Amino acid sequence: MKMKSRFDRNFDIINYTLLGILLFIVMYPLYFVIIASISDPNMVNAGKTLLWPRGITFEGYAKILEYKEIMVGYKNSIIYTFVGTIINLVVLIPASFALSRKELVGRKLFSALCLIAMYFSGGVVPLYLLIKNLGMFDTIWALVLPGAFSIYNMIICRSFFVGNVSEDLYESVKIDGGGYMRFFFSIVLPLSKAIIAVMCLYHALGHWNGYLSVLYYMRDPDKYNLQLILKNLTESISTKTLASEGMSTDYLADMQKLNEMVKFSTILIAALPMIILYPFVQKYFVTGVMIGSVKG
Amino acid sequence: MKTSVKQELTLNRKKSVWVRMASQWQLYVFLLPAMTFLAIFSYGPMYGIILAFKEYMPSLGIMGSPWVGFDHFERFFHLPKFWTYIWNTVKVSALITIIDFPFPVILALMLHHVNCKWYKKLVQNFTYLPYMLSLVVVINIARVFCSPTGGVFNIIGGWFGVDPINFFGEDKYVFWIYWFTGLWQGLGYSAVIYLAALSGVDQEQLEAAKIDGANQLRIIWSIEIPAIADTVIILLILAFGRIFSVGADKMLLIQNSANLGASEVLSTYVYKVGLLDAQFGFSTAVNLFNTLVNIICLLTVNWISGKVSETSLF
Repeated sequence: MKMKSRFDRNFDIINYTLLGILLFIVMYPLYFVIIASISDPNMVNAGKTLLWPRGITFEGYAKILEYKEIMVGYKNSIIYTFVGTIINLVVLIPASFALSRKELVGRKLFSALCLIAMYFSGGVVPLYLLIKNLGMFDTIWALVLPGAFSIYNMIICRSFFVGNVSEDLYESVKIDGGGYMRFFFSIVLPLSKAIIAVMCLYHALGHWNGYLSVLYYMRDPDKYNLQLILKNLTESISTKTLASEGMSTDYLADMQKLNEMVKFSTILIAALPMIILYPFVQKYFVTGVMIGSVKG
Repeated sequence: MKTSVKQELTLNRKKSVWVRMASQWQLYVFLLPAMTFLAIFSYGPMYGIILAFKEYMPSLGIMGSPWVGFDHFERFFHLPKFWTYIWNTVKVSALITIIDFPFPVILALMLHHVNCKWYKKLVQNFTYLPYMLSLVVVINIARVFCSPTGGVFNIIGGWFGVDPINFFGEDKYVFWIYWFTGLWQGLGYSAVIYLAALSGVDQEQLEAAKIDGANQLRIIWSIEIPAIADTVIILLILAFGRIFSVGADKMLLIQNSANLGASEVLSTYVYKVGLLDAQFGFSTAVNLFNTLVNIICLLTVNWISGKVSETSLF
C-alpha cells in the first residue's frame, strides 16, 4: 500500500473539516430548538442559550399538553396517515403491476392517461367544487381520495416490477394453471417488500407532513391535523401578542414569556415522531432514490 | 387466394385482441381502482376549467353561469402586480434551481472521498434527516432563528453592533428564507442520487490514475465529475421543466401581510382569490394560465433534453 501524498493528506484534512462544519450547520438548528425549548425564555431572548440550556424548565411542554387542540391534531394526523397510506398502497401496487405487464392490451393508452393527468389538471377551484359537490368537506375522504393514486410513484413502482420480476416466474405460474392474481399475490408481492416499504414511507410522510388539503377542505377545527394546528398556533401567537395592548404590563410580560416558550416546544412536538422514526426508515430512502433513479 | 389469407389474418388478430383482453381480465381488475380515481379526481375537475371563461354564479352552477370569454385573463394580465407575481414565482424556482444544483454534487464528491466509514455514515445520515421534517416545522425553525428577539442570527448580529432585523417582516428576505430552508432540508437527500452515480465510476480507470500519481482533486476533476455529468445535466434539465410550478404550501407559511410584495406567487394567489375571496372564475383562469405555462416549459425542456442527452421524459 502506497503512502498518501502530502497533497492528499491535506485534502483529507480539509474535506473532513468542511464536512464537520456542514454537519454542525445542519444539526445546530435542531439542537438550538431543543435547548431553547427547555430554557428560561429570558435567557433565550438574551442570547445566552446558544450552546447549552440555561434555567431549565419544562413549562413549555406542560403548556403545550394543556392545548386540547394539539392532542386532537395528533389523533387526526395518525388517522389520516394510516387510512391514507393504506388506500394509496392498495390502489398503487396492483395498478403499477398491471401497467408493468407488456402484454396488457391498452397499456399505451393507460400510460398516456396517467401522464396527461400528471402534468395537466383542472386546478384548485374545480377540484374544490368537485369535492364540495361530492359532500366530502370535513370528511377524511377529501384528504385521502383525491390523491389516492400517485402517478409519479406508479412510474417508480412500474420500473421496479419491470426490472425485478422475471418472465420465467410468470411462465411457471401459467404452466401450473394460475392466472395474474395468483402470480401477483404469491410471487410478485413477496418479491416486492422493498418497494412496498419505500412507497409506504413516501405516502405516510406525505400525509403526516402535509397541511394544504386540510386547509382547503376542512372547516371544522376538530378535523385539523397536527401540521395545520401548529401553523395556526404560530400565527395566532404572534398576532395575539401584537393585539394585546392595553393589558397590564405584568400580564403581557407573562404572556410573552409563555409564548416564547411554547414556540420551541411546538416545533419539537411536531418533529418528534419523524425524528424517532428516522433511524428505522432511513435506509428505505436510499433504496427509493436508487429505484427512482434507474427509471428511464 | 392471397387476399383471403390476409383477411383471415386480420380477422384472427382482431379476434385475438378481444380474446387477449378477456384473458387479461385480472389485470384490468388491478387497474380498476387507480383508473377510477384518475377519472373522478383528475379528469373530473378538468371540465371545471370552463369556469375560466365564465362568471361563476353559485345558484346557476358551472353549466348555467354566463360566459365571459377571455375577460378573466385580460383582467389578470392587466393587474398592476402581474409581473411581480411572475417574477416572485420565477425567483424562487428558476433562480434557486440554478444556485442550488452545485451543492449536492459537491457534498456527494466530498462524502465519496471519505475513507473513514463511520464518519461518512454519520455525515450522510444526519444531513438528510431534515428531509423527513414537515414544511411547517422547517419554517417554524427558520422563524425562531430569524426572530428579532432571541433569534440566533440577530444575537450574532448584535455582537457586531447590527440592529435586530425582522427577517419575516420584509420583502427582501423572503427569497433568502425560501432558499436557505430548501437547501437545509434537501441538500443531503439530493446528494444521495449523485453518490449512487459515483459508485458506478470505472474502477480500472481510477486505479490507473492512482498509479500515475493523480491526487484526489485531479481524480475528482478528470474522472468523477465527467462520470456524473450526465446525471447532473438530466436532473438540471428536469428541474427546469418545473420552473413555474411553485407549490403554495411553503410560501403560505412564510407569507404574512408585511412581506406580500415578495411572497405572493401564482399558486398562493390562486388560493387567495379562489378559495378565500370565492372568485372562482378568475382563480381558475390564473390557475389555467399557470398550468399552460408549466406544460410549455416542460415540453420545451423535454425537447431540449431529447436533443442533448437522448433522455426524455416521454
